[in-house]
Amino acid sequence: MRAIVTHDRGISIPHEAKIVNIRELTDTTKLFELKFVQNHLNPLFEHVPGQFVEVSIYGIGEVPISITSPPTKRGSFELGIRNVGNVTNAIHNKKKGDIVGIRGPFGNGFPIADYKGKDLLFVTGGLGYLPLRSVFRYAIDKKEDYGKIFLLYGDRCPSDILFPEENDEYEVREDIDFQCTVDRDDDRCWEGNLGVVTNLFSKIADQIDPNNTIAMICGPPIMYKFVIIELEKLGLDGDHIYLSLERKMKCGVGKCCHCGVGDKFVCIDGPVFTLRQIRTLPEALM
Amino acid sequence: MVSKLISRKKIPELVDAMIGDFIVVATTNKNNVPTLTEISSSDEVLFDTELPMISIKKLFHPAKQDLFKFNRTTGVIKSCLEESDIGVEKKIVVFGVRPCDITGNNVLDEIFKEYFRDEFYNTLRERALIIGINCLQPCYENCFCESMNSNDPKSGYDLMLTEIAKDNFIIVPNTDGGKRILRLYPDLFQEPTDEDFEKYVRTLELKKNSFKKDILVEGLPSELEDKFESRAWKKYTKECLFCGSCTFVCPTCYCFNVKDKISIDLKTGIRQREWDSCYYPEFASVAGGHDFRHEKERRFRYRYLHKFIDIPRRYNVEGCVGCGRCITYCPADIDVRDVVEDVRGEM
Repeated sequence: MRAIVTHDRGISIPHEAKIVNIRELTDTTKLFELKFVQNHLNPLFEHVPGQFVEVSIYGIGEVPISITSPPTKRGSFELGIRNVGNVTNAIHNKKKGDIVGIRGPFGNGFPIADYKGKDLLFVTGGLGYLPLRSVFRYAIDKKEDYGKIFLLYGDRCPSDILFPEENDEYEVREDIDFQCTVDRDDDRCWEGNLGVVTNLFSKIADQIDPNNTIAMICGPPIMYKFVIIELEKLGLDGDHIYLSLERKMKCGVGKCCHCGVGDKFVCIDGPVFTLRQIRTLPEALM
Repeated sequence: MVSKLISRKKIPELVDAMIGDFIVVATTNKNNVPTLTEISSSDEVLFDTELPMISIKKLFHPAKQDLFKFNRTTGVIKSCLEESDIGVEKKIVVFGVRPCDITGNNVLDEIFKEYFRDEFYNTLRERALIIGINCLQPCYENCFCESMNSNDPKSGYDLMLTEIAKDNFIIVPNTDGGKRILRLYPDLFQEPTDEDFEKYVRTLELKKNSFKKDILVEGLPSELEDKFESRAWKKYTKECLFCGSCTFVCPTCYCFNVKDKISIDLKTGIRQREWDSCYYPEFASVAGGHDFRHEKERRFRYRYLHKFIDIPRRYNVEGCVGCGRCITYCPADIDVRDVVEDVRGEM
């Protein structure tokens, strides 16, 4: 499961990857498609959806970024990156053909392959869409293995909505129940739902079979508290709710201690935990 | 039995002999504090001193470690493991390490090999031979090694010196590397007599009785877990300066930050890691501004719980070795023993 493309000089050394494509997703978010410079690494690179890589901009630093493309996409991978810090700003200034460093993939990812035959409920807010996309795209690519797919997505405003063209596809599909909402619509250009993502639960509640549904959640820390309440109202078991935690994952390999939560390190024991695990970890949800 | 006897006056000779064959590191008075440093003569060594300010962790996990050189546009040039003297054949001998530091370093050994082997720590660690010196009584008032079961390590050293009578030491090998040192300098050692062994056994018996327990660690993790919201955390948070001194002198603190430094040519640079402290404000903050341990109290508590709950649970070893450095070097006079007792004692 953990096919880590380790550098033969050690775990701290990145491999060079070339930016082969850049797509602007929103004003502040871009999607980078990457390929390793050493060609033989590209077929070796495999990931579990929900895993992350450490991206180096040499001279600026290194940041953990979740993989946005599903494992079913082979030969290259995509990283959706919002410009929020020094390193991500430097990444945004990179052009097609430029080199970045990659270590990983790290973390456990969502155990979606263990839940064949189940209904899947994805709940995401804001930038959490990007890591979760690798999971639900995988499920959609392997649709025959899974039951019904529910995808609830909330974002701040219409211009922040990620992958609108893909969302339109989901909207028309019979086997996917896609619900989307925005917190506010200052430009009055939005015809869909208004409000927070938890408002969407009422639209799907009667279709959820709590004994046959696995929930996977990724979003800002504040969202989790409220989504968990909704999921428990639906009757989902703590072992069937998976959440991806965000932390400062500096080294990615469980050494630097920046991502410690209780006796777990988010970078190697997570980032995905079950709700039951999280309940035993102090300060996990905040 | 492969143990040997060595007299006190021969020990400097042993150190000088080893300087010829190894890189020898010992406690010296460099910078006017007890400091572990490479020596060129036994004259520099402080033989009967308390603990060095920083434990042997700095030899394997230096305060600053160069990771690799890079070119800003083409990427990694080479790992610093390749070009520094880290890779040379000559072994390091660390002379005169106290049992608590040996135990403390065993914790780091676990951490740096768990899951992913850290190439820098392990390369440096594998290159070192450790000559321990047994403590027969608590070395100073801040020591509470007995409470943390750290004064009798079973592994993590190659040779152990124990003073059995005035001016005579039994030197016991614990690894092949230790035996090799004994074989290298046969003239410096004598064969211990049966009487010497009896003294050795008696010394170890006496040692057991000279230490007392300050705090009881049995059951401590679950007790502290129940006291997560204790008011005692608040009380000590107010006293703490969050300077990070305790984390730097702690033999089991290891967290680090990673930084890129650009050379003056602006084309190349070096990636470095350096010690960090979970007491510092931005330790757990992520891009976008969210800080997962913004409140000082959370940072203060995290370190204690990490030592007394998380490390024992995760690695099955004590996270604190009771060396007392954090007490000695705390500018706010916070005593870890008081904090633990106050927290667990609160109703």
